[in-house]
Amino acid sequence: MFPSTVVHFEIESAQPSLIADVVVVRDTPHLSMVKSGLTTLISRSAKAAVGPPGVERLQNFAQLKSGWDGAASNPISLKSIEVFSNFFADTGLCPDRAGVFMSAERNVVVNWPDAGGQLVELEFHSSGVDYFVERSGEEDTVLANSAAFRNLSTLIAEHAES
Amino acid sequence: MAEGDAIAESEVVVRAAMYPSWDVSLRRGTPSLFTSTEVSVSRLSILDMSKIVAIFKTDFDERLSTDGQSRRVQAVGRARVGDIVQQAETLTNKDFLPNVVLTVVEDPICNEPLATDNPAHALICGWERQRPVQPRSIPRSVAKRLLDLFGWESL
Repeated sequence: MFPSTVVHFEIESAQPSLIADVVVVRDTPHLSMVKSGLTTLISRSAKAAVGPPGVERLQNFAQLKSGWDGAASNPISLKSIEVFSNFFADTGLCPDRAGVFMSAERNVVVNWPDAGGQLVELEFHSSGVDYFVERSGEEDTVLANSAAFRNLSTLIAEHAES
Repeated sequence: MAEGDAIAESEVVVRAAMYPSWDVSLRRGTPSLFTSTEVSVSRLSILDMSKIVAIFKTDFDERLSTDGQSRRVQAVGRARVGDIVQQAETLTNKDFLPNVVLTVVEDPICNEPLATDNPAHALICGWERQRPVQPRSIPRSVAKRLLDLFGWESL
């Protein structure tokens, strides 16, 4: 008999926390359940934006436990995944050659080279998005659900084509 | 915040690029490798590259790996201290200086939990330009320059 493990997915938000418990029975199915749980959090548009390799990387990020990068490091922020998912669902952006990373602040980071090879980068955090457009030098933070957040789609769309 | 002595501009320091801030298949990382208020580097004047890489691997590949097979340290880059500092002294695309000043200071690691002793350890530190005693995170525009500056070699 393999030991059972309970995995908690906690969504940080102003709403009461949503916690899904997944009971698994051994390591390999455990990892499988983590992966499938994460996949359900990601919108179809976000999956299309980062492609199967990006989704795979996100699934692997979700397996990083507390302490993965030193004593102060924490697992990936599921709220960050939610903001990432909503951003691409809202904008429908699908940049070529998008890469997916995880920052030291446990946020999802997506970047891609624009038509001139200069970088566009978005870091999704619990309250919004940090954006950087190398070509113009623009760099700022916008809060989710703000007018600036919606305007960001227009700005980024101009740099989404390689 | 780091309080060590400044390192000479002629020195060369090494930075590790690690999963998940680096994508081997894309051969690309994220500037967020350099956006903290303090960014770890190691000095080639104190330890040679093989010894520094061995410390990286001990601390990140071996100690924290759960399956014994992960390779978290995926590339190493090196840059001259003077060139690092200069990245914050170059005008942005909008013709102003970035709101950060960079220093590189010694910060040897000795007897710290979960870290291998590293006498070569140093920090790139970000400071407010108008108040350079106030730490600040490194803007992404400067972090991208640093990412480009360190010539990355896959491990």
